[in-house]
Amino acid sequence: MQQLEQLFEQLNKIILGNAFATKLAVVCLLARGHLLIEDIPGVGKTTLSHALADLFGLPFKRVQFTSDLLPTDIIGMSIFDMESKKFHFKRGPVFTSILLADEINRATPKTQSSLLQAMEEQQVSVEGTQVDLPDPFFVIATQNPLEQSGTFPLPESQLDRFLMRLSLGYPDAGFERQLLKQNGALKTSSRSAIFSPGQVTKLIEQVDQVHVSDALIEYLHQLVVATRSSERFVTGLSPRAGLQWMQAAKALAFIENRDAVLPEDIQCLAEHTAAHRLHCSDGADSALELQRIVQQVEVL
Amino acid sequence: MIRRIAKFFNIGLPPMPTPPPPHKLSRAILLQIAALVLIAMLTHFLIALPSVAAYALFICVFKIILILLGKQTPHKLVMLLLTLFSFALVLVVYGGWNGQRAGISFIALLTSLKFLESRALRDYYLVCLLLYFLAACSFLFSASIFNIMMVVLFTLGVTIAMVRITNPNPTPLKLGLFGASGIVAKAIPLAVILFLFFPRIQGSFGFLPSQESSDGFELSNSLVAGDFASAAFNTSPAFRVKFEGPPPANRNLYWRAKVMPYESRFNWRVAPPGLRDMQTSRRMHQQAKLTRGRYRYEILHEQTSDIFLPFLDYVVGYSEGQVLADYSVFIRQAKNSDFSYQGASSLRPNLPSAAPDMELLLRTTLQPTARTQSLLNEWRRTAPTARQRVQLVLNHFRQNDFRYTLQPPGLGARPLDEFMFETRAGYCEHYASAFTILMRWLDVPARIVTGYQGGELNSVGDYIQVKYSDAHAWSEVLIDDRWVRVDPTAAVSPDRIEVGMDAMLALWDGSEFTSDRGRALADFLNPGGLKRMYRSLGQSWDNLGYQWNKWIVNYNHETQKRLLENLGLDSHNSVYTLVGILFAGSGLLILLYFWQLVPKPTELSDAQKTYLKFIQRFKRFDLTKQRADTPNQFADRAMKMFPQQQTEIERITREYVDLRYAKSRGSLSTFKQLVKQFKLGPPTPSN
Repeated sequence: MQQLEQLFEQLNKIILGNAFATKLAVVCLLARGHLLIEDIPGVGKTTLSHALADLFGLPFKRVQFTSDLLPTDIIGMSIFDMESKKFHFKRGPVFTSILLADEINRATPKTQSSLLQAMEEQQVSVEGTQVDLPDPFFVIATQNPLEQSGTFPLPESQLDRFLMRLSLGYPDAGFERQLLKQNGALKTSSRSAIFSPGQVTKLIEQVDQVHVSDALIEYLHQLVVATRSSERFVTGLSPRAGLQWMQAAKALAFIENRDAVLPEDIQCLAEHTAAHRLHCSDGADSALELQRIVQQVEVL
Repeated sequence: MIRRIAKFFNIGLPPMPTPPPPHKLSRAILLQIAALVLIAMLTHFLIALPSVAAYALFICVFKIILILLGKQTPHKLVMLLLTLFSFALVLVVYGGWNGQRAGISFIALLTSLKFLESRALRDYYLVCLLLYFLAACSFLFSASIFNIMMVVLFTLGVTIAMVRITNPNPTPLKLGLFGASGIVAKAIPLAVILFLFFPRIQGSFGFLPSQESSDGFELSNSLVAGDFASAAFNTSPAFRVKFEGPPPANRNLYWRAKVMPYESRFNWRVAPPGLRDMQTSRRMHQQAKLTRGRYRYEILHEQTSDIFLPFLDYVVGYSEGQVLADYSVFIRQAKNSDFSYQGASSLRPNLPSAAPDMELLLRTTLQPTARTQSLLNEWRRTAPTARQRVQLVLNHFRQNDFRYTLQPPGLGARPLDEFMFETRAGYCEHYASAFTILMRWLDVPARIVTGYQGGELNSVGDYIQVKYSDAHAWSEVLIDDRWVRVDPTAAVSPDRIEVGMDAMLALWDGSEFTSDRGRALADFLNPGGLKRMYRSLGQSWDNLGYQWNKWIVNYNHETQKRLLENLGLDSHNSVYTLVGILFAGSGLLILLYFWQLVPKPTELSDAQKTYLKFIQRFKRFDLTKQRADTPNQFADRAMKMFPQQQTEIERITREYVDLRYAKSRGSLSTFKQLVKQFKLGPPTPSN
């Protein structure tokens, strides 16, 4: 627990004034989910990924997605070795624990989906065989909401694979001044790993131990059903969405040092775990409608 | 519309089901439907004229060929021509759409045409529904247990087809059978309830075209020698009788239907309605009671257009119709289906005949020929009294080589003369006619009675079955103002009366009675193993039909009324009561459906109820819990308003949250205790 506190302390020193976002990112990692950050460039997406990798002591790779990126650029390919006269599989950047897929919507759907299979199954197909990816495997994908030309927006089915979507936003004035003052001084200092890879796995396993009472399952189920019967959504939440929502709530409860999930956890995560999976038929903001539903479902 | 109403009442309707994407039917299913249509069209031959049925069959076979070739429908022009031709066919063959047969034939033709033009899923659904309707139509012609079984099987077949059509994935026949059996089984309780309680229509269906008369034999209102003999081999049942006690001996089983006093040249007629002695009839009607007499019985009569009902001689009580002075009972309107009635009889007439019309009873149009006249003169001389004359004539029949035959020879211009001196062979009607005329010539008032004699005792169902072959004619003579039954047939062929017509039929070898009469009769009375088994099997089958008719087919307005009375329902307007019950029932079902749609508060646990009590305390200080407020969030607000009671609120909330959400923490009793002790002081104005 102490280590977790230390982690957040360090993280919040690096990402100034965005404690909630950093918390959600950690929740996402501990819930074995993947994170989609939708924001403009330069607000610290890469910094956050780097910081997470460094502090958790996990290997980190980054792929800049472009329209000419090929699946082999992510997964890797077999290269003929002239000396041994054999094919050698050269592992791609996907073989890492934390992968930053920058501007994922700029790659072609084919490339996107090759990454998405890895996210879902935690393994990739290499020349017909399945190769496992390291555990934990955590993808942080970013996309730029402003640049619309030449992009391939992620389809709904693929958005559903991300546990959370969040945006970092601009830091507060105070924090931004502090950031400017520091001039990035913290960038390199005090970035030693807090956890060993084994400890991270243990943390994730501990998340599974968090208790979810029947009452809470009932509440979550009511919420999920309410999204399905809402007339404003094209479709409701999938069972996978419900499962992931619960897993995230468990991770949040764990971080908050509780042994059971509370309705607050569910409510708190509603927007970030569910809104990106829902679409209003009239094109309105699904987060607002979701908020309305959460307000209507009774908690007791 | 419904959605709008539901929205107004804030009822959350489930989302409208989207119609499933249409799927292609496999050839196996198409062939199954084809087989069903084929069966329907083949059975159509039973009721329709062959040309119409053959045309329907032709259309059906045409479609089957198309299916086998992998094609769907013929060209539109071909369809049009086929349809026009079927219109014309019905018009020409039946002369219009009037009448049951024409109507059903037309539906059958249209069904096969619809089948021919079917291409989409919904077309085949429609064909299946039409097949259901056709199956139901068969009840207009027969309500026998066999027919019902066939219809149930056919319905099951159609339901299997429906199940298989509905399923987008190919369904094996076996699975379809399971599904359909389930559906049909579920329908059975409803069918039973509707059968028992749905208001029976009193009388006949006014809106249905009248049924063509049944083609079975019926007792005619006149007797022409040779008529009955043609029915001698018609062994279909006329009626079945169940006696309350033991039935009388076979020789006393005279079932009177009609009395014929009018003679014209060896033919006999019943009294026309205007010439009946209605005064005596009314008096007898008033005295008639089912509780009188020695024998009480219930008769289940097959459908007949006859208005005279057979009763055991002599009737003293009846549940149906009106008795006439001559002990025959008639109803005003013939029934159009099987019907039952009760009767009571005694073996002797209880009333002396009231002022008989002597002139009529002695009148003959036939004049005796010379040799008959000489015979009559001799008889008149030797036998002065009526009683003696009866004996004399019977003895004459007995002693003079008269024969009883099922194939009587035809009679010419002088029928009585020929019968008495030349052919000397006849059926019951010949003997009865001859005897009655001879009696009249001998100045003894006499008349003919027709009806049935005997009947087969069905030991399985313990009832007597009377067949058309049991039809019989006998005489009645008036002696000392009382009518006495005289059966000349009994004088000629005692076996006919003592043993019954079935024995006669068993002895008959096609042209005459078998020569070894004694052994054959013994054989008939004590049949060998195989024959006995066959007979008891036949009796069991007949009993099944009898019970079926008695309880199912004959369940009518009256029996329903009786059932309802036994159930304590008002008998006077039972139909309205029933309709009311049915409407109320279906209304309730609809309400139940909507009730289920209304969002209901889920059952609250004890902890939740106690917590609600806790929240309730804050209400009067305008602090209410919003729906989405978690207990902790509510506690935060409450503690802000009531800082003094912070600890209690916190404690209660923690206990509740533990109870609800934590793993085996928190105790219900403590929580209840805490809430009970909790007293809310005045709020402190927040700073």
